[in-house]
Amino acid sequence: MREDDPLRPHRALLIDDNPDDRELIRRELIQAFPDLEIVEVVDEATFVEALDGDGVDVIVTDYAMGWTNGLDVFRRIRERYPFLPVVMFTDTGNEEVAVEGLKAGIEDYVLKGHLARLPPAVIGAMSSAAQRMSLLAAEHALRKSEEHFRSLAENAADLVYRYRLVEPRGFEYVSPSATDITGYTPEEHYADPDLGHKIVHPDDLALFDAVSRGEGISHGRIRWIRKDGRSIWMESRTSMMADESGRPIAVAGIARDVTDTVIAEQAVEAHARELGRVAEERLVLMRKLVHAQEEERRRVALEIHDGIGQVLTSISLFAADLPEVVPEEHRARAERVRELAQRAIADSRELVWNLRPPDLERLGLVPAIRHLVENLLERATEHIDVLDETEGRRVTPELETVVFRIVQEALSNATKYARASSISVVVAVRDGVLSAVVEDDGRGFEVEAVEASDGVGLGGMRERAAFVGGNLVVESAKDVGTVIRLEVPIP
Amino acid sequence: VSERPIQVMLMDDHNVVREGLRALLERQADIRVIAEAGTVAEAEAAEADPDVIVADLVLPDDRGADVVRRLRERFPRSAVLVLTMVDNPTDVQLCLAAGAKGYLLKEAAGAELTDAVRAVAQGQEYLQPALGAALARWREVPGKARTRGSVDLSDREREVLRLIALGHTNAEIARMLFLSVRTVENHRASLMHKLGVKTRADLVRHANRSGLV
Repeated sequence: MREDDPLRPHRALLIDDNPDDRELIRRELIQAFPDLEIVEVVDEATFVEALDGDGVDVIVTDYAMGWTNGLDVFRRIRERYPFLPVVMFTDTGNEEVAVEGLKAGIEDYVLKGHLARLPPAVIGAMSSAAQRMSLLAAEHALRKSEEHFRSLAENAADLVYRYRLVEPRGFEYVSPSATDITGYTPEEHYADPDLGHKIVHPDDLALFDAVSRGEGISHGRIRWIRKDGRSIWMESRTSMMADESGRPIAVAGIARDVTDTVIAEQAVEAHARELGRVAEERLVLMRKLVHAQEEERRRVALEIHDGIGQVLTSISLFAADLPEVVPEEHRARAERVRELAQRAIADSRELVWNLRPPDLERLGLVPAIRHLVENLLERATEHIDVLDETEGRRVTPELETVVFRIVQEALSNATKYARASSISVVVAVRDGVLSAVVEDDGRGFEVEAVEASDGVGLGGMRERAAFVGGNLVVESAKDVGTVIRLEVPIP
Repeated sequence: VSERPIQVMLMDDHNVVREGLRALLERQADIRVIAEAGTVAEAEAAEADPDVIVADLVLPDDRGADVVRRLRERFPRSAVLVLTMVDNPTDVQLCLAAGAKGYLLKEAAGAELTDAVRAVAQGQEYLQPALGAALARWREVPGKARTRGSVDLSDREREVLRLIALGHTNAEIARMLFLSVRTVENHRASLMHKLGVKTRADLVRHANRSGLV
């Protein structure tokens, strides 16, 4: 036997009042277990003393003794040390006693005539006592864990259940919270194996079945109908229990009432949709407004062009040679009339153009931008460069107007505030995107501060960009300059 | 001064303008107004052989360079003098290309019209000086930009130039190339210095010409 074998006894109590028998047995035991320490008990006094001592692995006791018998000894020991193995030996023929002892729970018995069997009996007894002990420990742990689980389940706000999938199908456990959540008591669940099915909203049955059978889905949100008819949202999680062959035999689940959460989520979604709708409506209205504004401008421009502009032209023509034909003293006034008429025509022409550049529609974006720059250059001192990378590509009038107005605004800002020496405009169509970049080398500004106060109409530019599904990038660096880029996807 | 007065047709849809034009021109000894039209179609239908057609560009039935083209087709011998409120350089360019002999803004009519009519009647071209300057400004001649012939750019500068040409901002380029914005600004300044240019538009032109984009 190995030194560290747990089944090798170190210390044994040998209970017998016959010195010869004791000697026989001692010899037998020492032969098998040379290191064994044997404590001999010969009467009540030594028995009590030995019981209080410690470190005993095994009891070997005779049955018939003057002061007691082996069964009493056994009972007294078992009472105090439930896992201490006991081996009893009896005289030949006293087998009834042996049977009684085994019934009572002694590990083994040996006839005095077969003492050679004693060592294996000792080992067997120790082994079975050890097994008994570990079994009991396991049972104890299991009971503890079940108690723990049950107390969790019993007190859980969530619905905890176990459902048997094999016949007889049905609920094996339903936590008391079922009553609060579903309106059905655990007893009603136990009584009706199909109740789980009955309370699920018909539309969600397929999902419920999938979750219940663990078909790849271990959780889901399912509508249940309470006993009172009210509909609730349950978030259900399940775990499948299978037998050794892998066959599902039961499903354990936990279901939580998430109705409030779902309602809150639905409200948030509804709000988001509503916000989106309002934003969309607003965009539509703004587009209409801008469109109406452009239309109105076009109308006014046309009226000025066709009315006042032409009358002024006529005045200018009538006054053309006036200075030469009037008497000397009126010449200066005539000169002045002609000049003022000319200036009025130029002003009305510029007014008409600013209201609605006629060339935008007729000639396109870049010619209109060049014209705009031409107008600016009448006063501006900056070098203004325009590069056309559109290859003559035309887009919708609405889009051209938006791009034009944004470039107009950007150029107006650059000439008014930037103190730049050079400004450039690059209009390009590349990879399905129309882009216009206005850049100056001026003093720059704090983009965030300006966005907040919006002194230069960045907000308006962004809004216009949004009308056509475009994006505006504004970047400015102190004493480096400002770049404004509009990008619009085009079909 | 030629012996025969210059025969002029007026085409403008505004009576009040035609009235002024006629009054002015009729006072000139060497000019006579022989026909008037309020639309291009009316002009085309006119039984006349004018030396000069003073034509507006915005008519009820046509506008822009097409007006000039139609008049040139119908009256190949006549010099077309555009008199209009349209001052877009592109229109000027297109009209001249379509065969207009002169281009005058209405605000200049009082002072310059008679000179212009005489000039185009004699086969000269007449362009209001301010328009001439604008026209020159927007004539994109391939290879025109002020960039120097061959310039050595570093790989990094070429990459920055390419991204500028694609429309990116300094901050965007800095993110793409994992550089600081300041570094990109420096590359860009260096590019402009090396190429001898002043604007983004110039940089894009250079990138296009050197096949970077």
